[in-house]
Amino acid sequence: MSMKDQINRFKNVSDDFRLIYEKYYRVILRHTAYITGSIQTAEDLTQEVFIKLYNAPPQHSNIAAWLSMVANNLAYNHIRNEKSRKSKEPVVYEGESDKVISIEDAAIMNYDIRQTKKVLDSMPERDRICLLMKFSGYKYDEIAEVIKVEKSSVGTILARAQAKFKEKYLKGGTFI
Amino acid sequence: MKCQDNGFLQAYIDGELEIDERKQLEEHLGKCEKCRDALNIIKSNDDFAYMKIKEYRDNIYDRVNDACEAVRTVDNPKKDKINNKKDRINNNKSEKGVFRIMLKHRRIAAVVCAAVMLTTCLAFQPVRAAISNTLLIFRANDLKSINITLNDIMEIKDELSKSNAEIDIKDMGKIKTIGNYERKMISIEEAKALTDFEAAFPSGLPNTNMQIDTISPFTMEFTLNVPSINKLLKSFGAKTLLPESIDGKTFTVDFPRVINMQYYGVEMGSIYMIQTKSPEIKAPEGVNPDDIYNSLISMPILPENIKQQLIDAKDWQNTLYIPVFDSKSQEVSINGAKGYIVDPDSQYKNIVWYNKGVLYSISGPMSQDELIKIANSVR
Repeated sequence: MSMKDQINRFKNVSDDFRLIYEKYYRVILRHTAYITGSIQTAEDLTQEVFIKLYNAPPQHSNIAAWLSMVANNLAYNHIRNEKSRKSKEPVVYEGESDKVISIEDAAIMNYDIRQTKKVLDSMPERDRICLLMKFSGYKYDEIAEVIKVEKSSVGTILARAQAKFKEKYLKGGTFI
Repeated sequence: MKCQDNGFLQAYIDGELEIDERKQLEEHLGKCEKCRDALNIIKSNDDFAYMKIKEYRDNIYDRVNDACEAVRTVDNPKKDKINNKKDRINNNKSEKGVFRIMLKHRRIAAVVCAAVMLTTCLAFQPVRAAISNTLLIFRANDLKSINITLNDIMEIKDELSKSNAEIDIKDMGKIKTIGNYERKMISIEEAKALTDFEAAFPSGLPNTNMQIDTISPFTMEFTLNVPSINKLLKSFGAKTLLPESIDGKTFTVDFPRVINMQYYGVEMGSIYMIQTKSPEIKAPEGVNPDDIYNSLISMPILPENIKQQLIDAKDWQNTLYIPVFDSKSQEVSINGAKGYIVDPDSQYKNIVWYNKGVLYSISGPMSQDELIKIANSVR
């Protein structure tokens, strides 16, 4: 390959990358924000997705599907790690943790939405992923693969998770 | 078919059953009341979760869109002018003006907020409360605008990217809210009957086609983690740090009732009016507000422009500062009280004034004279 060809090839690749980035950045960001519940986290994860794309472009015909698969994996792993990290962290303000909100959460003025986030955050990671996936249109077999259970158990997990969600939400009471 | 467990019924609702399973179940449901009841409960849980989670998702999508717009805005200020105007007109329903723009520049705003929140919170006159000698109470009795331009935000952004500091707002302290945050619609009569707030109305506007809602009073407690904040301040090159003595001490901010009014049917859009008493800040004993103020304004991260305005604000203890982003503001007089028109050149204007302890804001798409006329008619 001549020098000129190489430069052209590089130019094409980075043009492609830019186009893909512009087209999918927001879609990926929105989805990871929805799963993790934090825009800040989602920004980091989305960055990671595109770094992966840039460093090792996949031989995948459907780039959108590849991006969303990578993003999903990162987001679900984040939720799992977050749980284990939280349990290892020393509890500074004991007994008040459910009354304490982050500044990012404080920016959400709507009571309902804050309550939903609080309840989701308090649920076991498997139930939370299950609910979030179901309501963004995933089928049982896809959910089963992510949470590593038999497809036939997904219905049971969902039925329980939804009942728990409602109960916790309504019990949540007075906190803004 | 025998009676089925909840998981099976859930799969039925979600359309995950095979055709023959489905048929058999439907046949069974026709005969079995117990299973019908179970199905109804599952269905209602499902609907409830769907409704709440959809709302949550829409909200987070909106916030992501705002965050994306903000990035684009900072990267390309020219485009911003056009976008901003469109935005204002489309979105003046939701959080308006200052607050909205703060959210757009969320990340930067969060850091600036942490700093400015304190300065603003502390910018209140100390009044010794007879009720409690252990607390200092500040309350504003004046209003001043501070101009923050797009350049300032970019400067802060640059400074932030230069510094290696790990910034985690979570470490700065904690915020706790006490009381119900409740927003509800009320009628004009109910608004007039409120005991904790005397609602004022612009008599220049017909109150036939309007809507009122109110946010009930609530309290927020800020407890500062001084070592973390000092670490942050230091990384921004602040020379004066916060005194260790206020570590873990709690500042309380009482947010009084807020009344929002929306007048429909004006050409080009609605007019919004917000009124509330100024929040009251209680600082713990032994805190010298000057120390905190001086420390915060000593941060080199603050662009000269903002810093100078803050240093010039000699009377900061008496003053409530309204940050004005990337727009000009013009001082006006409303019924003898001082106020500001924000963005006097744009189509969608906002007027803010402060009278006898109550903060008023009216915004709408109209001329400056019309806006002042409406503001003057408030009583």
